[in-house]
Amino acid sequence: MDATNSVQQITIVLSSLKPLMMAVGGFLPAFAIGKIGGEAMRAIGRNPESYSTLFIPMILSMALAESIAIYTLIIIFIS
Amino acid sequence: MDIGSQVLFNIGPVPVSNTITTTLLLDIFLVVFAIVLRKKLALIPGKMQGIFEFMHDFVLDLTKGVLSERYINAVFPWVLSFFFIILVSNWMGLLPGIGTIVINISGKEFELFKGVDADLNTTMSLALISFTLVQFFTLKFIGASGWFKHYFHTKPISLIAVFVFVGVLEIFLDPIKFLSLGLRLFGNIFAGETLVNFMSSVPVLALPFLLLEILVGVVQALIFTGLSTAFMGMMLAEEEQH
Repeated sequence: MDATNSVQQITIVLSSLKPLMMAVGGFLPAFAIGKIGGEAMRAIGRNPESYSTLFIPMILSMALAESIAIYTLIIIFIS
Repeated sequence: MDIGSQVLFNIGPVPVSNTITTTLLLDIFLVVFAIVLRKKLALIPGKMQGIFEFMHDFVLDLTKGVLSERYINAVFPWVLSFFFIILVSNWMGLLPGIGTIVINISGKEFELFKGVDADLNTTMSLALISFTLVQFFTLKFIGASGWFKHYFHTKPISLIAVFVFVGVLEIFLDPIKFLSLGLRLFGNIFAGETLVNFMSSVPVLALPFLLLEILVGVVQALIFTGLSTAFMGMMLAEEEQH
């Protein structure tokens, strides 16, 4: 009985920390997206004609990096 | 906050959820669009054909960058179908009637239509179809020996233990890539719908999020299609390498 009570307490505490979980899980994907965009900006600045070549791979890489943050969001919604 | 779709009624033993009603709407739209487009095909394209040709050329460029010329004729219809279906179903979730018409069943309120990709079943089915297609095309174009050689390299025969381990690991990791495809699409579209639902309590605030959802619909369709094609290209491309 004491064990289930503490498990319930831990669950309640953890579920109130959900925004914190989302912030932690979203930090590195946001950083990765910024880095991808920055490198793309640097490449476009060096060679302005490469914009049309770089655009689609940049969008693809950003969405792939963002999917990690989406996983965190799904876990928070489901639990 | 409801995650999945809600069952509206049962036809015999089969439950009909509000995602299925929206899928029926989607099917009717796609079939009518295909029939009308086929009837109005002309050398000088009209508006509908022009838009569709733009989409067709765009996805064809994307496919040509990844697959080699031999395989494009067989694979491209599937790729374009994926793109078109996901794009239309994402945008259909933003239309005025979808998600807002509410009916009362036994005291609880259910939405009559819902965005199709906001249901994990739909996106996982699409990812499963993509996975099956990749395996099918690999077996058809390269055969079972090509499939085996893709996972288990055999060149330096002294590293055979490493190759067996890596091969088993890669076979195990292959479905996970498609699992992440389905989860990504579901997460993006579901998060967008929930966001618009929250923000629509003050209607002016919902407008930028609706515009964002239009963009997210296009980008996610592109991501799903591009990644499926890239996976297929990775499986089929080993004859030029080594």
